[in-house]
Amino acid sequence: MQRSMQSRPTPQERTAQQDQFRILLATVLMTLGLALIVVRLVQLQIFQAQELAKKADENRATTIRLPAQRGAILDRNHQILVCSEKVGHVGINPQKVGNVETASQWLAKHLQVPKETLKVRIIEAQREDKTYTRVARSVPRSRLEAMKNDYQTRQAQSRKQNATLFSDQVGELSIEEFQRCRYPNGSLAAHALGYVNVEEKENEPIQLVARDGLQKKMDEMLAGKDGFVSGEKDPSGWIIPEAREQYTPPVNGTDVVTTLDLTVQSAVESALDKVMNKHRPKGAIAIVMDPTTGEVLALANRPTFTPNSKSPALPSAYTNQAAMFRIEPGSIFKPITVAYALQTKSIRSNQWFQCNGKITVGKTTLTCDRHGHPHGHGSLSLESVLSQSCNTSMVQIANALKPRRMYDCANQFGLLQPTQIEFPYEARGYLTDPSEWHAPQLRAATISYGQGIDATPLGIASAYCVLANDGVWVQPHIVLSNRPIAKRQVISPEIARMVRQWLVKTVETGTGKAAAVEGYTLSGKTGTARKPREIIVQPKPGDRNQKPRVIVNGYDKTKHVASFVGFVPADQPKAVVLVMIDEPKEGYYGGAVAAPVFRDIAQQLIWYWKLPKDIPVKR
Amino acid sequence: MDRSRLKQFDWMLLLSTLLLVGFGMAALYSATSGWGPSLFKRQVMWLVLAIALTIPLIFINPLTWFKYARVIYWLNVLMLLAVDFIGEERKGAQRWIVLPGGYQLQPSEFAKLMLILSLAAMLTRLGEDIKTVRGFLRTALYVALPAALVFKQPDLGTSIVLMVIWFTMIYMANAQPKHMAITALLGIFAFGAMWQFDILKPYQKERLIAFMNPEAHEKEGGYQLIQSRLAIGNGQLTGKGYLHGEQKKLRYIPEQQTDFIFSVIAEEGGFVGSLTMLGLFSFFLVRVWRVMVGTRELYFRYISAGILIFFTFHLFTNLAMVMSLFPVVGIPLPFISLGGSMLLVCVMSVGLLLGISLRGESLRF
Repeated sequence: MQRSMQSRPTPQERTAQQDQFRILLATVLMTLGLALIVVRLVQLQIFQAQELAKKADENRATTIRLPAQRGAILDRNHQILVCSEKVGHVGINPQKVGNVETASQWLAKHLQVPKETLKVRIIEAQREDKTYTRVARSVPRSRLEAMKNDYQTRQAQSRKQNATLFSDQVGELSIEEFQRCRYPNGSLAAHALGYVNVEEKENEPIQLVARDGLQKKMDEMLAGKDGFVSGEKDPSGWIIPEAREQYTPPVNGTDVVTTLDLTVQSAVESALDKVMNKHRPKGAIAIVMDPTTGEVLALANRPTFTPNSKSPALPSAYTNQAAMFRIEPGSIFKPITVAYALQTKSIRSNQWFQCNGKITVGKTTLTCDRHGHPHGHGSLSLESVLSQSCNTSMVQIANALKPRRMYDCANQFGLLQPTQIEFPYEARGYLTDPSEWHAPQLRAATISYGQGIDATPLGIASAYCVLANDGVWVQPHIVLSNRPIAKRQVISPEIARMVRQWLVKTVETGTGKAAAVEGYTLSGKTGTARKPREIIVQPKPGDRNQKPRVIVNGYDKTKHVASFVGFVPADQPKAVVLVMIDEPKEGYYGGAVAAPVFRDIAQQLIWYWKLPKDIPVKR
Repeated sequence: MDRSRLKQFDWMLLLSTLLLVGFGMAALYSATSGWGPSLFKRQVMWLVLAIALTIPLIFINPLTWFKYARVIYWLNVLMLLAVDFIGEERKGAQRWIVLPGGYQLQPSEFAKLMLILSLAAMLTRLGEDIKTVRGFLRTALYVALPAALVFKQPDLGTSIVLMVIWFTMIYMANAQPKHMAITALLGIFAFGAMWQFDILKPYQKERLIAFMNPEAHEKEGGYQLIQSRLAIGNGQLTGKGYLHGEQKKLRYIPEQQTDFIFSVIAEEGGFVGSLTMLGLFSFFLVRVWRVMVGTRELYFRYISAGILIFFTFHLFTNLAMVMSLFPVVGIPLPFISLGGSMLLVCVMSVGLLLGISLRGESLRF
C-alpha cells in the first residue's frame, strides 16, 4: 500500500502553478466569507446596536396591573347604595373540547345558560377553527368559585377512575376577572349615584369608566389607584421574580358617604312612581333637603334608568333633571320675591294689595284669572297674596322693587349661579342683566311671579332653604364629609320666619290644600308655570344648517310645569321638599298635581322622624 | 518516532485549539448556566473522552487510514443506517444513538470526518483519473450514499456539509472545472426540484425562507432569528459581561446552547468578544491551512483540505445563520456548541492534523 502511494505523483510533480492557484482561490474565498461575517457584526453590534438593545429591553419588559378595588357609595347611615363586585367572563378553547355534550351540559349547569345555546356555540366555534369562545359574561364571583371547585373535583375523580380526563372532555376554562358596580337597590337614586361603564377593548384590561353622577364626580376617590408590578418576563410571558424591578401596591378606593337617606329616598321614589302612573307626565323631579346644613336627603327624577341594566333606557332618562332642568319656576317664585321686597323695605309686611283681576304695565295687561277669580281676589294681605297666589299683587310688589332689585333678588337667592353640588354636570338659572331687558318694568313684573326667568329645581330648593334656615343660604351638597363651605345671610331671620309662617295658610286654606297631612302643620307654595312655546322650524332647502331649529316664542297654553315646594314641619323645618311635574296630563295645577306628591313624601318623613302632632285631629 | 520529528510538532496548532476549546467551554458554561450543571458536566466528560482518544491518534501514522479507507467508508454507512433502526427520535428527526449513561452518539457528525478520510484515499488513488467523467462520477456516487442517508434522518445541514466537503476536496484534487460547474448547476436544479416536489419537510422550507424576513415568519422560526439578532445587538460594543446576558438569562433564544450559542457570546462579550472569538478561529484556521500547504503527501493534503473546509464552512455558516444571513439549517459552531459527537470530531480532526504535521516534510511559508 505504501509502495503504491509512492507511485502516485507528489505535489511537486504536479504543475505547481495550477496547484498554487487553486489554493489561493480557495483561501481568498474563505477569507471573503469571514470578512462578510465581520461586516455583519459591525452592522449589528455597532451601527444597529442601540436600536436593537432598546428593542431587546422592550421585548423583555412587562407590566402587570394590580387593579384597585373600587369604593362603595353609602347613604348617611352607611347603607350600601353602590358597591363593587368581582365578576368574570368565562371562555373556553373549543378546539380542546373533547365531548361537546358533556361540556355544554356542565357549563349550562354552572352558568345557567340553556344547554342547547352553548352546544351550538361550541360547535360553531369549532367549525370556524377558533381557539377561544366566550360562553358567559359577567358571572358573579361566587358562581365562578363554585365552578372552579367543581372542575377540580371532577378532574380528580376522572383521574382516579382512569376515565377520560375531565379536562379532555370540557377543555380548559379561561376566566377573565374584573370588577363592576353593583346597585343593590336597582334604580334607586340612579341619577345622584350615576353609572360606571365596563369598557372592553381588545388586548387591553377591562376598565371601569365612570360616566355620571357621584360615580364620575368622586371617581378619583372611589377608583383608588391601581398597583403595578413591572419587570422582565421570560419568553412565555411570566414575570421573573428576581428580575422584578418595581412593585407598586394597589390603593383601594375609598367609600363615599353621601347625605342621602335610604328611607327618605325610597319614599320619594315611590311618590314619584305614583304620580307618574296617575298623571303620566313627561317627567317628574323631587328633592328633599335639610335646610340648615344644605344636605340633600333625597333626589329623584323621572324618567329614570337602572344602572347595569341589560336593556338601556331612552337617552333622556339618563339626565339628572334636578340639576340640569332649566325652567321658568312660576308661582313658587312668589315667596322669594315677597321676602326680598320686605328685606329691601320696598313693601311693608302689613301692606294690603288690591286685585281686580288685571293690571296694566306699560301697554301690556297682565291678568290674574287663572285661579277661578275672574274679577280678581279683591283686597289681600301679603299672607293671602301668597296663599291665593295672586299675580296682580305680585306685579304691584315688582313695581315697588324696580327691575334692578328684582334681578338682585334672583341673584341673592343663588338662582343664577350653579350651586356647586357634587355632580359632574349642573345647569344654572338664567337672567340677563336688567340693563339688557327690553321692557324693564314689564319683565320685572313677570319675574315677580316666576315667568321670564330660568332656574333649576336644585336652585329653587336651595332658595327655599333660605326661608327655612332663617335667611341663610347654604350651599347644597350630597357628600356627607363635605362640610358646607359657602353660606350667606340673604334676608333677616325675622322676615324668613314671617314668610314661612304665611305659607302655612296656603296648605290650610289656599291653593295647596292637597298637601296637608292631618294633624300636622305644614307649609308650602304651589306653582303652575307655563312652558315657553317651542316652534320647530324645518330647515329651508338652501340653509347651511340642515337640522330643524327650535324657536321659543311666547308661552304654550297646553304645557305646564306643576310644582310644589314646602316645609316639613312648618315650624323649624327639618326638610324642604320640592316637587316638580313636567307636562302632567289630566290636571295641571301645582295644587292638584304636585301638592299630593308633597303630601306623600311629607307623610313618610313624619313617620320616619316620628314628628309630634301639633293639630288636634277633627273627629 | 524520533526526536527530530517531535521538533516538527505543530505547537501553535495545539495552542490555538486549546484556546478555542477553553473559550468554547467558558461560553457553554454561561449559555447553560440556567439549566443546572448536568449539561455542562456532560460536555466536559465528552472533552475528556475526546482528549483521551486524540492523544494516541497523534502518534498513529495517518497513512494507516489510507489502508483502511474502505472499512472507514462502510463503517460510516453502517452507522448511518443503524440510526434508522436503533436511533432515537427527537424534535422530529432520527439522529441519535443512545449510549449507556444517557450519552448520545450522533453518527452524522462522525460522517463528516469519516468521509474526509475515505474520500481523501479515493482521490489519492484516482490521481489524474479525476479528470475523466468516469472518475468524477465515482467520487460523486461515493459521497452520495452517506449524504443521502444523512438527508433522510432528516439532517439537511449535515448533508450540505458533506456535499461541500466533497466539492472542495475534488477541487483540490484538480477536478475539471467544467465538471464542477455542471454539478453546481445540477445541484441548483435538484434543490429546486426537491422544493417543488415536497421532498423537503415543511419546517425545513419555512426555515429556509424565514431568514429573509424573520418578522413576517415569526411563528415558523423567525422568532429565533429575531431574538438572536436582538441579543447580538444588545451586546453593543463591550457586551453585558460574562454570565450577565439579559436575553440569555431569560432564555429568549431557542437553542442558545447549541446552534445559536454565538448569540450568547455576542451579547455577553459585545463586538469585542465576537471579534476575539473570530480572531481565535482565524488563528486556528491559519494553522490548519499551514498544515495543508505544508504537507508533501497528497493523501495528507486532501485530508487537511477536507478538515479546513469542514471548520471554515461550519464557522461561516453557523455565524451567518445566527445573524440571519443564511437559512437556519442546524450547523453547530465547532468547539463551542453543546454536543459531544461534534466536539469529539473537532478535537480528533486536530489530532489528525497534528499527526500529519509530525510526518509531513513541512514546506516553510
